[in-house]
Amino acid sequence: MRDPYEVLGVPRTASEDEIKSAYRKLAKKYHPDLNPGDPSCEQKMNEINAAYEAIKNPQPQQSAYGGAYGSSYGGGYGGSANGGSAGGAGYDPFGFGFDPFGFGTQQRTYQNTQYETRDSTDIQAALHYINAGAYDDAMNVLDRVAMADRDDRWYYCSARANYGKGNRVTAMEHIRRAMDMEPDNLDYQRFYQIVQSGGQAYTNTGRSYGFNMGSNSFCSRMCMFWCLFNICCGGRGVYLCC
Amino acid sequence: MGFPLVLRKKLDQCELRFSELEREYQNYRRRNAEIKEQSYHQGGCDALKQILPVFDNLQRALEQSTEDEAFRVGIEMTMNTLKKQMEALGVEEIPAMGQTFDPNLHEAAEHILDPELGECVITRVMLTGFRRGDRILRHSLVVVAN
Amino acid sequence: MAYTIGIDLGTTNSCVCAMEGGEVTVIPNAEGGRTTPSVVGFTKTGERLVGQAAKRQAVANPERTISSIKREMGTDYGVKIDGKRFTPPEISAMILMKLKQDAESYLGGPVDSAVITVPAYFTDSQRQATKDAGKIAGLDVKRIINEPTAAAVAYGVDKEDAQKVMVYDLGGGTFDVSILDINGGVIEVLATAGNNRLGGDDFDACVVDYLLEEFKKENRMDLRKDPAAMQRVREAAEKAKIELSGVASTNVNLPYIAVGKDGPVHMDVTLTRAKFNSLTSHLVEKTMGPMQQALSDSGLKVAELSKILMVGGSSRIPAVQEAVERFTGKKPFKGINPDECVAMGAALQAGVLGGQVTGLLLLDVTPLSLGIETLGGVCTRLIERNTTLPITKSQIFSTAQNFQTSVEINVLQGERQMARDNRSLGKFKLTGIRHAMRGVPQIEVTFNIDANGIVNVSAKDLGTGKQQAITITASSNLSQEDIDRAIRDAQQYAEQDRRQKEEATAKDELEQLMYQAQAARKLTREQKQARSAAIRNATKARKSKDPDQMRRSIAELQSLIASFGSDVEYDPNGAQDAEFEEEDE
Repeated sequence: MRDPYEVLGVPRTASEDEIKSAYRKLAKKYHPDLNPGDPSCEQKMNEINAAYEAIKNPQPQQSAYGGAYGSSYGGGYGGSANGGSAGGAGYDPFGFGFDPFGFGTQQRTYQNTQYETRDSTDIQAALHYINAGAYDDAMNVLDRVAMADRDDRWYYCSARANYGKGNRVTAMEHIRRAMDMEPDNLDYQRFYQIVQSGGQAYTNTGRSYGFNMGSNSFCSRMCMFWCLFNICCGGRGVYLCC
Repeated sequence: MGFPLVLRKKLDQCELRFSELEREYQNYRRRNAEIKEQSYHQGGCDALKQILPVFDNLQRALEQSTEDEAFRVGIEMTMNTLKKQMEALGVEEIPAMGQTFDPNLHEAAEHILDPELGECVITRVMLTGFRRGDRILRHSLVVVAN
Repeated sequence: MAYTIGIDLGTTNSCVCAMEGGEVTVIPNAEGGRTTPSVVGFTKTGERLVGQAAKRQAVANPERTISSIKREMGTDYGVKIDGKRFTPPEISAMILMKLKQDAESYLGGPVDSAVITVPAYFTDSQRQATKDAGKIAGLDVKRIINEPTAAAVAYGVDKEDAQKVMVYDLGGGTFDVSILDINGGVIEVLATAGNNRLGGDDFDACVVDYLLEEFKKENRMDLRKDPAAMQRVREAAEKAKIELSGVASTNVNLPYIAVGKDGPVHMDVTLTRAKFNSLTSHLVEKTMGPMQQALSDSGLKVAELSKILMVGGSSRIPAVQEAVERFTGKKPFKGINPDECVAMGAALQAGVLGGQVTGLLLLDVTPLSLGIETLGGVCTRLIERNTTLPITKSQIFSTAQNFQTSVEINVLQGERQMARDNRSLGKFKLTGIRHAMRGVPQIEVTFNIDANGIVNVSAKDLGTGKQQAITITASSNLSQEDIDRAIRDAQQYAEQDRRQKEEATAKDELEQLMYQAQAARKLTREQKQARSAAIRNATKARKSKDPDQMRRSIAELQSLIASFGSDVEYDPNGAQDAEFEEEDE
């Protein structure tokens, strides 16, 4: 979400009255009641209302992701404990221990820094797919981002997605763009190294569902378990769980 | 938007508003005429409605038995005068006793079951109903069977 | 162009208003009343009565007369009449249809859309049910607005100074409190609270209980088993309550209320205002909580309120007004008509939406928090109560099992911690999710509460960018098929009704002409023959009940009578003789 103060067009130091009057002015302009038949107004009003709410009742930044992992994973399945190995407080898709922002708490620090709090929903979604190895999905999400909004994070994600798909050239191009935009970012630099070195430090088991097989033996044991599990039970077909 | 487009839009709005106003005005005139026509009649009806409780009480008085015959005759004559005046003003009693209950004319105050009577038959009139022309001054307050 | 009307669909009474010539007017019903009782009655012949007429026959027909249906909106309550089951929206639609007809005859033109008010505290299901009722009645519901807000609109539409007001709306079945900020043509709701099951009907019930108790003490009879007696007692209780707003004591007198072993029994109970107050003090007390809630939610102090608007019939009760004055330290403002202002506000909002009213904007809030059920049966909030509408919030969902193709989300409204204590809007099932390992699919579910306060759920698969299918189960709302069926039924009934009325008027006219023709004297032989023929046709037409046939006969008789000219006399008592004369010929 954009900075609420920016949406309302007031400085952070604005008084309550100033905020209210700015809100009212915007409401008079964009409210769907006064703009019949204009669908973009409803969206704009949603944004204005959300900003007004955020300033009125400040709450810890809740992105759709921040909330989702902690709560909706458990709740999205009608309460049945099919989360299996998860048991406890949160859901853990890859059996690596609960991690609200990523998949797997591997020793590789570069995994953990991936979700920056300022990341938009699209970037977060893209990173999620990338981590899950669903590169096509990641590409779809990235494609939907407008040209004007493609920042260094976008290029970083695009680089990783393309790399995962095997488009080394594009990956190289994009990671370079990202580094140009943000020269101090260590993650970008590290990934650049990976692309350059031909991907020895980061292997992908390929196919559509890749698992990060690091040198961590704990992880590889879990991964082995997963692979076996899938081989044994993969042919079982669809689990319908509601 | 170009200037001529702005004008066009404004013109369209004005035309729409004009035709709306025209229609509203016609309505207003029609209704005003109706109201004028009816207001004399309506006024009379409202006033007469207020007098009805007097009728009711005279009726109750007549139902009392008394030894003072002269006094009773006096009340009867008073009641007759009232009835005559009401008639002269166009007030009619709504037939109710024994009639089939009609919610447009009567108001049900009580419901009883009586196998000897037909469906929705009025067995007792608690308050007489009156009409004046097409206006109902008071619906008859009745007891309905079945 | 068709009209948009503003409708206050109340628990006990409804009111309709429209904008005319830039002003709001209350539309009287066909009987001349400015409000119409929200009562529907089905006569023994299957005829539907709505309003005053329905109320008048209620005592004679208690099982087939429905009142206070608003209390059941949004539930799966149903009433069975003649083997057909009617849901609350269908019953409300009957009331709306009558209001629509009355408006059309008053305005002289078609009415196709409306703004309908609901209590501020109505849940999503209740709002949806109201919208459905409008649809079934053939009205395009342009907006659902909250009653206290509508009242504030009626009050504040022309107010110059910025002010903060509290609206205390105690209607027949519901209670709402809203705190509003009126400034420069913008009416912003700061907070709203209330109780959906508290209203004038409850005050009546207290009086009824008292009357029954007193009667039992005196006559050792329980009137509860007698529905017709109960109807009278209820009506008398309501009357007494209303009278006690003006006088200090009233007498409830119901002769022949029942038959005891020794003969008929009468009810004769005196009720003082003091006794009434003590009987109902707990109800008045119940209104304090929401008032406090709304005030604290709004962040204002009592002193900041410049006016307290009293809305709804029951706000006239002296004990209520005293309590409000005690709580707020201000005398309640009585400058608005408590029975009509809500409908007036609705009509004004219709004007805003139609462009006839400018410089007015309504910013209402959602009264209940919106959340979803999460692990452990907990309710996790997504949108807080008193958030200004429209508002949207998104949440990402994924699968728990490999290859899981559907995810179920239980959407809730309410403030309680546990999901089961809140109101479920239904279970939204995301179906057709692509086969993938668990946790991989990212479905963005968007919860939107629109300006009507109705929740809309949509979902998108972020991976493909495509809309995700959602089916809703376990909600008490009508499905689209139900609504379509109800609309068809309503149209069918309206058509039937129209035909019956047409038939009745044609029949009347026909009979009058027949009578007139038969009363004619001094006719020539030809004229008499023509008359017989016409009368024969008319009798046939009357028997057929076909309006077209009757109309033709009417035309025939009219030209016949016209042809008689001025030589012919009409004997006012002669119609019967004439009949015999015809038979002899």
